[in-house]
Amino acid sequence: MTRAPLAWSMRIGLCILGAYVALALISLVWTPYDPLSPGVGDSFLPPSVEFPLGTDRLGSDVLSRLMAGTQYNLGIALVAVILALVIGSALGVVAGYYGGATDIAISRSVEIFQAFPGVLFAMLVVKAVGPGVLNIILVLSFIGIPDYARLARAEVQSRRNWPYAEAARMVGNRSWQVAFRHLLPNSMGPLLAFTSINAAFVSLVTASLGFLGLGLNPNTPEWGNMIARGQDGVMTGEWWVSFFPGLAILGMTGAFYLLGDALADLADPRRRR
Amino acid sequence: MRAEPYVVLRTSGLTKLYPVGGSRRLVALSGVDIDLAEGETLALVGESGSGKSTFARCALRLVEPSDGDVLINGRSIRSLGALGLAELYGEVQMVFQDPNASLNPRMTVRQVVHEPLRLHLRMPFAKREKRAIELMEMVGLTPAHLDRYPHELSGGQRQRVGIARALAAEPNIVILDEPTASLDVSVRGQMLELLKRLQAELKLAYLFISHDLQVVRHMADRVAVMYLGGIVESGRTEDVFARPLHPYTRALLSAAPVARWGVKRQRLRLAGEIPSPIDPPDACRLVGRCPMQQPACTTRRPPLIDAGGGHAVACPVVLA
Repeated sequence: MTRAPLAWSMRIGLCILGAYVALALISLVWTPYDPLSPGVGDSFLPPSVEFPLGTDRLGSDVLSRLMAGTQYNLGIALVAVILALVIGSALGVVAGYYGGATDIAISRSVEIFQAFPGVLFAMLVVKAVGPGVLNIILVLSFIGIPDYARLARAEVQSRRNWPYAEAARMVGNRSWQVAFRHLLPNSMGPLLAFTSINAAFVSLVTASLGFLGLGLNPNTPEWGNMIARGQDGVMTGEWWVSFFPGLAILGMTGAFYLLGDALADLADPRRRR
Repeated sequence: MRAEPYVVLRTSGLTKLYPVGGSRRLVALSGVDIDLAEGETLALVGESGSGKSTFARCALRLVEPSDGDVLINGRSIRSLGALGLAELYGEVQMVFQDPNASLNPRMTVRQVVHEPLRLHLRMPFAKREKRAIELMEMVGLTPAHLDRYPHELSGGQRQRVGIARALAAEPNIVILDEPTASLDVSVRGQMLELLKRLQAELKLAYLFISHDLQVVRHMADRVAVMYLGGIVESGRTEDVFARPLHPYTRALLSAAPVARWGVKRQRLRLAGEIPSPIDPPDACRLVGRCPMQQPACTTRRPPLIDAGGGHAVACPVVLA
């Protein structure tokens, strides 16, 4: 069985994302210079053969830091999105299938959290519990949970009285099996399509927190941190320190958007040819 | 006196009310009593909206009935919990109207057919696979179909998968909810013959829900005519078709097309439209539409009265 050819936008998205994954993996074993040590060159050296993306104020190599940063920005986005997808969908399926008081309890709590602006909430929490990769992942996945829960709830609720859900009960499935084995797989399309939008959002917020100095340790080569470190240079002509991490964020966010329906397609046997 | 045949499915006073804003209630089923004997086919006939499908779902507690009880193989299902219901579905199965909507689009035929074998009969994989192949052949498909997804099958093939799934659990009762209504006319006949053959081979009792009188006449031993959530007439198929008693049955039968030239039909027409099922008065539901209406018809709802030979009708006027 072969799959339908993916649209060009999706292929481009997949290629860019593949490049980021490759970059992250390479940076684990090799970077041109040590990304954490300052003074591998003079400060604010423009892009050259020796330092392809230049050096920053502390004389660190921008390319090395950018490569190492991929681990943080990509890793945080992927883990946060997967966590939010799993927890949010589970809550939504339970709310949508069982209805009644369970639904009200889940839906109302989810709506309460959705009333806070996501970025503001993330800033507050990180400020309160302190920086760190784990805290950032948890707070970013937490922001995503309401959207997944609402999507899953709507999907499952619209399908719970379908004949195939009735048929699933007739062949001996318990209610949780009907909900999670029959209804959830058929609701994955919109959920997976949303992961790309959510991943783009999470990458932006990660970088924003870094830029505002709320994210990781300032010396961590996270892209938002790097932009922050280079922001004085933007006015005085040393554009490359902030420009390249900005480009990296743009590329990753764009790739997630382009990915769009590709994930939803891959999960649906009816869309294979 | 002949021995009473063993009743495998009996409903008594099965009622379903839906609240529709305020204290008003939509009466989808009002006190339906039905007996289905071992190995027989009982057809439930009625227009769309008469409550046939609601009846099937309430009898299986796929939809919770508001009142009344159902005995399946002599056991009341009213107080069964989730586990008890799951076990019950090993004895009674359903073939759904639209095989498109009743097959999970993400499951291959193999997964569909294996599921009841795994959950109801607790067979290990090798045994399930062997049984799945037998079931495929039983319903006129081939083992190659096991690897297909529903969207790769024709409508008739899908319905055969639906039948195989229902039979996999080895029930003795099968509820057929308009099993041919969504199929092309060309495959309807084959499907009905398949169902008849399987019934004879497996000694199944069928509750056959349909609005198609030709099909009912062909399939059923007994017929129950449903109108607005209640049974208005029941009896042996040949009796009901040859000598319909209730004005509604007469109207229904005279509305069916006759496939012969020159046969003059006497059409009995009912006046007006089907009344609203919301908060109906305690009266015959045909009041206002019936050409034989008497003043007494408006004072209470007539019960089913035995007209002899197992033929019963909910109309004292035609018997008077």
